[in-house]
Amino acid sequence: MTQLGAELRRFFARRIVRGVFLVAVLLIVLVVTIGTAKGHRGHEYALDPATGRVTDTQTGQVVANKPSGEVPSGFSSSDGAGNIVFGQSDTRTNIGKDLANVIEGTGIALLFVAFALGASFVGAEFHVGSLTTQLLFEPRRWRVHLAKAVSVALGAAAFAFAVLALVALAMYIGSELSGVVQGLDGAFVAHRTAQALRVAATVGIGATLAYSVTLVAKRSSAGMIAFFLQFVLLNLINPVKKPFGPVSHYMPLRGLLAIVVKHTPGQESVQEHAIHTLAGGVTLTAVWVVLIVGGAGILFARAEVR
Amino acid sequence: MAAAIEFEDVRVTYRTRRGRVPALAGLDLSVPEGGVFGFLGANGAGKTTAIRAAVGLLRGARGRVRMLGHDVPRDLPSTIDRVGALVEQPSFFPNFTGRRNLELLGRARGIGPKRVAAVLDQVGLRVRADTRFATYSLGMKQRLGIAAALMKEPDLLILDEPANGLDPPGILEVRRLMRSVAAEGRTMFVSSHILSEVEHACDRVAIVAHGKCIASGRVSELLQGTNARFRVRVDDQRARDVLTSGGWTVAADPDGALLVDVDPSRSHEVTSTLAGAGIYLSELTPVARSLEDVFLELTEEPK
Repeated sequence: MTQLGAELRRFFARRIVRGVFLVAVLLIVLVVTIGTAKGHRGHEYALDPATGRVTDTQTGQVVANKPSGEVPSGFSSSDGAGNIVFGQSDTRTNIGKDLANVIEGTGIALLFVAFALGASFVGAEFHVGSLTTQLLFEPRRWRVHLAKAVSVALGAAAFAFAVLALVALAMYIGSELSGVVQGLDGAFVAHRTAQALRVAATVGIGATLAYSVTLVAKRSSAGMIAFFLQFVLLNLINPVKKPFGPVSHYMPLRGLLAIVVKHTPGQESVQEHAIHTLAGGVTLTAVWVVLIVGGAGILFARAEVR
Repeated sequence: MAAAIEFEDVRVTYRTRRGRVPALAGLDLSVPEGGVFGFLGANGAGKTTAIRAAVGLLRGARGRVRMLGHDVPRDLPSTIDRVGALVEQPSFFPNFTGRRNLELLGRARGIGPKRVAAVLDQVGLRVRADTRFATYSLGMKQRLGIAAALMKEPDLLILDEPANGLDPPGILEVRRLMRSVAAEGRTMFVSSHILSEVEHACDRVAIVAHGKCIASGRVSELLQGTNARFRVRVDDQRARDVLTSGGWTVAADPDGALLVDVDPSRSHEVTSTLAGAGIYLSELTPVARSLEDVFLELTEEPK
């Protein structure tokens, strides 16, 4: 516990952790402020092409008459009765409706932050040589490795959860001030908290994987590139095409994304061919954790540390 | 006498682009418990590699390394609390203060803030203890490294080039520290290439070259050696040839005299040989050898 406590203190005392958190807070405030300021109520009208009559779909009032056949700008769709429905959607901050998607999107961004935090945690130690000093106090390499891996996971997860909590708080304030506050019952809070915890745990695991790669490569850039590159590859490789498609199904990032991003059954996407369910993501991630964290431990136990 | 550190035929090879380079080529050395032991060698001789193997930073060394009677690295976890070490440059987190760095290190071994404050005081860093490590001078960094090594109140203290970056008062302070640690019955193992420092501070020394120990013993024994050097002053040009043909090693002193290596018990033979050739000397005085002379004699590459 003392080793873990010391590592956690090191994690949170690092400038990069504090700096990135500050940037995250500023971005949250900025985005929610702009979103709240620019948000507006939705308006929906129906145009009867035969008569040219435009009615407000909510009130049923006729608001205009247009010459037959003229298509209004901003039209959206047909209502099934031959009318063209058009207008503007409601863009006000709506925590009850939007928070789940926002947590999902923020979670993906946080994964990349986690790769940087995890890789730089031990990369900085190799850079300044402080790992040597630590090993003169605790020569059990596995113990040092696991304490660092767990502290990176806990630290990054706490970081992610704090960011997500701030996002939720900012959205709540925005919704209260100039938005929509609906459906914020106990079930909503419980579901969103569970989602945030799941995302935070995934972010923590991502950070640990990047840390482990860096422990072997001894450079922060190696740990970061190993995971950033996967994002590029996942977007470049068609998962149904051989020979690389099947390989891309089992990349570590695929598993992490499957946990963070909620799968909609019946979704028509080529990504359907890869692992995309929560259970699949958890299984794939667990396998990679054992391989990468365990492999790093074996190599670190035999390596010369400078 | 029990050994604090033992190296038995220790071999370490590094792979480089130019092939395999031996860093230690069968190092045999026994460091007795107690006193200050100097570990001398030129850059690249294998000093730091040997220390890294002893404290477990280097894995995969062949041969046997024992520290305080325990095999390294196998038994290191049970020994490490009795060993303090400063290896190469002191390395700490640059954005943490000196005190915080030591407290985080100490936490892992149950060492509290009181002990941290005591060692900071001992190395003269109390005033700057709460400023960031990045702002420290080289000498202050070195002091913090020594403070970290002292934190565990070790039976064996290993310092790799402890005088690096220290000013003359700092060097004196380190020398005093080494003597005081040894006076408490602990063992000091100090690697250095500052030979005058070692000569003043150490009881015993070992000289390492090309990864092997080439001489080891008490400083006084090494200085004495088998041959002593004598300064011979004569006014005859033939003297050098006469002495050389007599089997002695002769060198020229810058002031015009000759330097002759000879067993002290046979120094009278120099006089009689020269007298036999009709050469009479005006001076025959023993030259005090320094550790530097011994070191250069032992490590000089043949030209």
